[in-house]
Amino acid sequence: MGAKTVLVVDDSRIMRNIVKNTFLSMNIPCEFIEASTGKEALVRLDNNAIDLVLLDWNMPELSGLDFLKQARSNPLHKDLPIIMITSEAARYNVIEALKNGATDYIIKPVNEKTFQQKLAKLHLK
Amino acid sequence: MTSRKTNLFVNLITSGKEFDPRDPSAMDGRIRYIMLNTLIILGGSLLFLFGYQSLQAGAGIQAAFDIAMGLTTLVGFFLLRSSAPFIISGFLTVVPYMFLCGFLTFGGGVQGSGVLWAFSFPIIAVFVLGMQWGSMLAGLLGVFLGVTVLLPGLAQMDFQTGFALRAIGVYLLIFASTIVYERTKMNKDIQLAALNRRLQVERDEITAMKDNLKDGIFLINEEYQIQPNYSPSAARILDVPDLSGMSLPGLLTSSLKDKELQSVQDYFDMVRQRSFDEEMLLDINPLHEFTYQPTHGGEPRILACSFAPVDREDGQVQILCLIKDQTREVELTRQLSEEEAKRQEEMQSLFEVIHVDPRVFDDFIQDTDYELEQINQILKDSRTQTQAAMVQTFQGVHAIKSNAVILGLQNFGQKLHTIEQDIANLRENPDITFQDTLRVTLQLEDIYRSLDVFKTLIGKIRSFKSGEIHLQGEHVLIKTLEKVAEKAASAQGKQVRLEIDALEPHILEDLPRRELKEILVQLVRNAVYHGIEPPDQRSSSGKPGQGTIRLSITRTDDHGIITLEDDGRGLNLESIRQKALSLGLLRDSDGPHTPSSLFKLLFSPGFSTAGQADLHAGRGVGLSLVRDRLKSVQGRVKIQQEEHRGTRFCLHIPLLVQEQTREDTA
Repeated sequence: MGAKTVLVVDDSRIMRNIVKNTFLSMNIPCEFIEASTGKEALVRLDNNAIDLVLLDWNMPELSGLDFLKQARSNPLHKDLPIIMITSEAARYNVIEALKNGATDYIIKPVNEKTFQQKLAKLHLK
Repeated sequence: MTSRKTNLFVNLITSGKEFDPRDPSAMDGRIRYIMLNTLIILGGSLLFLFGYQSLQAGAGIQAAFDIAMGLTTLVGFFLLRSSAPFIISGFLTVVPYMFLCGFLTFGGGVQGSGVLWAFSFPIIAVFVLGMQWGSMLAGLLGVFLGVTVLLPGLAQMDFQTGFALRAIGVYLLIFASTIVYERTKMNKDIQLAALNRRLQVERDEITAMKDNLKDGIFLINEEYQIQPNYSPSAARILDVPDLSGMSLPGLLTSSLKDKELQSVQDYFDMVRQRSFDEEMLLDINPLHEFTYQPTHGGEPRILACSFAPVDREDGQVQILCLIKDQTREVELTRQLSEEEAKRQEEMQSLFEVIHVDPRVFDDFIQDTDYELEQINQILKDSRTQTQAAMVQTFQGVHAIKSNAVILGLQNFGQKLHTIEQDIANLRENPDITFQDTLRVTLQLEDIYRSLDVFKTLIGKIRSFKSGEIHLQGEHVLIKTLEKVAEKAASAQGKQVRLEIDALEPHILEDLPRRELKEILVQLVRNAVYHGIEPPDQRSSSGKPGQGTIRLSITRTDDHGIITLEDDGRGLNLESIRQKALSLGLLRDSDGPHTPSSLFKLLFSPGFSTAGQADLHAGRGVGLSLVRDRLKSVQGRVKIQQEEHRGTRFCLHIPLLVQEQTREDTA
């Protein structure tokens, strides 16, 4: 189990930090790569070996959903774990995300417990 | 045309009877009818044909017999079409056929082929008449056949023994096979019937459960269509008379947006795919609680649905849907939380109200009522220009708010403040709509409600047994004084305890409570600061290290008598005199001073004998405040003291009751 590379995609720097800090507090050795738009995230995805993507739903330029569609259309990223991060009132968004190939979803606010649960599921797969 | 013919044919061979195609035993019966009718039609026709031939050949008896048999089968044919039991027609056909077989055997026929007809009899007899009668008649024919072919000279032709034995053997074989076959079939039927009964019972149970379920339950297929076996509650909850074949998303068109409907269908597909874990599916169920609007109009309701995949035998994966009507529960929850909020507000108000003197509060409520009445008049009065009305309304609300804030009614004040802001904005607005006025009216309603809360609270407070609440009041007073003594003592490094010598029950009802409390607080502090000595000093003068302050509150007819004494050092007249001189309250030339005139000086503003000032005493306000408060309630004070033995303050305060009665008569 070497260090994992996690791509955090969110247009809000604060949110990215929250996600990173939550992750760090779980003592999982990992490196973070950040992107503030879906477009940027696609570039990062092509230039790095990414193990996990944490993806915000609402972003300018290229939304989370569009990023998801494009990433999944590339056979290289067919099985890449992508976790959508979305706000509470967005059940319908979650369904759309899962339909378009999101591996899982986390409803804001993020906390260690939900992260733990979701990651545990990923390792089972 | 063809179908008419077909129908006629079917009607003929089934005797025009209806058989339930789902019931295997009924279908058995149908086959028997077809068989019997076929026999009658063919056999009957044959018999009439033989009869006709016999007539032609001049064999009268033979012809009569044939035609009689033919007629018998014809009777059977019509009986079969009536409600008469099947077995009667069965006999009417099988018995003539038996005689026919017997006759053909007996007659021999071409190369003895008459016997061949008899071989079909066991099958027909057993099949049409059943095991008991069928085997008996087949046995009879068998015996007749055996006798006929074995005994030479009995029949019309001589059979060779080899032929006879073979004929009997084949007959027995067919007979036995038929019995075995029928037996097996009967066992099967018995088993099948038992199985059917069990299934029926189970089905009845399931149906009973389904039909009496409070929640709706149904299956939807891959096209999201509701399957026929839905529970009656489902139709009731969805408010659709017949759900069978209806599309579930179609039923939701009035309740959800198009995009949401699409998501619902995607969700159904996810449930069917089974590639997502159950917990996740539960979590993202878009219909876990939603407002359902029947498509044809009607009352909207709040429904909760859950879904689970079900494998059907044809390889389809359907979805089992469970629907609950949550309208009442949600409504109850809403009511509960509203009640809770109201309770909270009442509690909050109660805390605020408790600090306000009830008489003051009565005034406040009267003022508020008056102001609200004014505002109502203004808003009702259409002659007042709306903007002017808003200015006046603002003033009214502001007046109420100011009063509320003075009394410390935080919640109420906050509410009024919000409304005041709103009206202030309207005041600036030249064109106020009816909507605006309506909103203000509704906000005023809210104020009325709060006011009612206050009124009930005041009512409740009053309706407490006066004894209880005031005993509580006395309890609070004593606790307060104990705290004051304790604080002051620890600040001074002294030890003190407060003892209550006498406490007249309900006395606090009749005394000016607030003033009395202030007076006693000052006197207790005073006693700790100036009266009680530090522990070591007390020990050296032979007193216990802990000083004692004693309080008694009693009454005469028209006065409360309050005595507070300490066992401290007493008042040092000389030091009072010195202090008074230094403060310029006395002149040397004033000659000798009586103790009582010196004591009076203690109550002057700015007089304090303590060395230093701190928060608790020694700012020289202590006794002057006591004097002012006493004045305001028309009370008097006397001081008695004994050096090194302590000081006693004795207060006389007129009871309020007289005041009340004075007010009442005024």
